[in-house]
Parts: sequence; structure tokens; C-alpha cells
Amino acid sequence: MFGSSSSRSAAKAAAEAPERSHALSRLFEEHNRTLHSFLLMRLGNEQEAREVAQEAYVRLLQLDRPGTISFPRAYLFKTAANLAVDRIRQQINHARLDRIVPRAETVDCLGPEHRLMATEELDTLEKALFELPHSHRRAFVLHRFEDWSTAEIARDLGVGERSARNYISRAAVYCKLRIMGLAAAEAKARAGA
Amino acid sequence: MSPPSETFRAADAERMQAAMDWLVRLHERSVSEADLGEWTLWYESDERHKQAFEQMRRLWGAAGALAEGEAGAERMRRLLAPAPDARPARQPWRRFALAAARRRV
Repeated sequence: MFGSSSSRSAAKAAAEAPERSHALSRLFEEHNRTLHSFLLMRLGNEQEAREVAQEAYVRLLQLDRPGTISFPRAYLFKTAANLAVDRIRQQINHARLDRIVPRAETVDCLGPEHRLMATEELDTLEKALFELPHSHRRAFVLHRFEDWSTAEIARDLGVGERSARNYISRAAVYCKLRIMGLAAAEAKARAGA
Repeated sequence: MSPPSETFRAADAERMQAAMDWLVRLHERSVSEADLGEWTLWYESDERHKQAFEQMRRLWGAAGALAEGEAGAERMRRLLAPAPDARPARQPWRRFALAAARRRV
């Protein structure tokens, strides 16, 4: 009796499979740009972002019991986020290894995306960071370059986590406004820094 | 041409702020499904949201160049150097703790 019921459910699953894979490919198409943007932010590298998106999608397709997932979009993004965390860990390990055993070509921990900024813009960015209050600068630098969580930064600065997040965010907007050519006073007012 | 301060609209700065708030939340290793879902809705609901997010994401990515090489390591040290006086005012106990630590050395 188990045999017949399981073969019936297998047949049902087979009949549903094309419809399901169609729905999933539509899901992927609809949110591909969003997913790519998220992964690019996390990984800083076009190719890695594409690879991780692909892998997350494949995992979604390979689920044994897709019915248990009520919200495939959330699953797709969360899987991609987890895969990105794994990749970053690998990158950091490689970078550490490179520091101990230097190679001819060192691994770029953050990917080539950040070469997109002109030298004078980078100079402005650095200058802008020094124009900020110490807490804002420190929060931004620890989050961006040292990979500290906002909870860790909050503890370090002796403020709430919400404030820590605000410092990072305002620092970044202030720098962007300075790069766009706003005067320090106006950029400060606009960014609330 | 008018200076940027005249052509620049307050709404643009607000969108950049919103985009950056999202970026910070998404950058957390422990980002929740709820945050990811909410951000997806925000990002996809308005082309200007996308533009603002991409703008801040590029800045976030491009900033990485500041940490590169030997000059980068030195730059990081300067960026993270303690403020001359701001912190002791906020946490007076710190000054005593540091002094005590120094005495022990």
C-alpha cells in the first residue's frame, strides 16, 4: 500500500515538475537583477556574484521536497546570502595565507569592482572620511574594511546598535555627497553627519 | 551651469540615506530573510531606489582601494587612530583603566 501511494505521489510530482521549474525560472528572471545587486555588494566581484546566484538557483531547483518551502524567493535570497558568507570566509583565509606565503599575484580580497573610482575621487573620499566625527569615521572603517558587525562596532563605541548603523550610513552618504561636489557644510547637513 | 548645491535635491539625499541604511543591514553576516524580503520590495518598487542603491553600492565597493597595499595599511592606521579627546569625555572610566594598565606594564 505504501508502494502504490508513493508511486502515485511520484507521478504527481513528475507531472508538476515542468510547471514548478517554469515558476522557478520566472522567479529567477524577475529577481535576478536584485539578487545580482545584493551579491555584488557582498562580494564586490561580477563573476563571483553570478556564480553564487547560479548556485543558489541550482539549490532551489534540487530541493527534494519543494512543497515545504512556502516562499521560494526568500529561500533563494537566504541561500545566496549564506553562500556569499562562505565565499568571503574563503577569500579572507586566502588573503591571510598570502600574507604569510606571498604569491606573485595576490588575491584581491574585495574583487576588482573598486577599481572603478578615479584617483581624485578616491582622494576626496579619504579627505571626506577625515572630515567626519571620529565615531562616524571609525564605524565606517571598521564595517567596510575590518568586517566588524554593527553589534561589535556599537560595543566598541559605547553606543546602541542603531546608532552604530546610523554612523556608518551617514558617513557613506557624506562621502558620496562630497565626491559629488557639495561643500563640507552642506554635505554634513544633508547627510546628518 | 549652476553649482551642485542648487541642482541637488533633498529627496536625492534622502533616497541615498535610505539606500545606505539598507546596504548596512544587508552587509551583516546574519542578514535575516525578513530583511532580504523587505529590501527586495523596496529595491524593485522604484527605479530611483535602484539607482540610489547602485550609487551607494559602487561607493562601498570602490572604497576598497583605500585599503590596498602598504599605503593602504598605513592609511587604515591613520583612519582608526583614536580621537584626541572625544572618547575619555564619554567614558571617563576608560582613562583610569588605561592609566592603570600602563602602570602595570
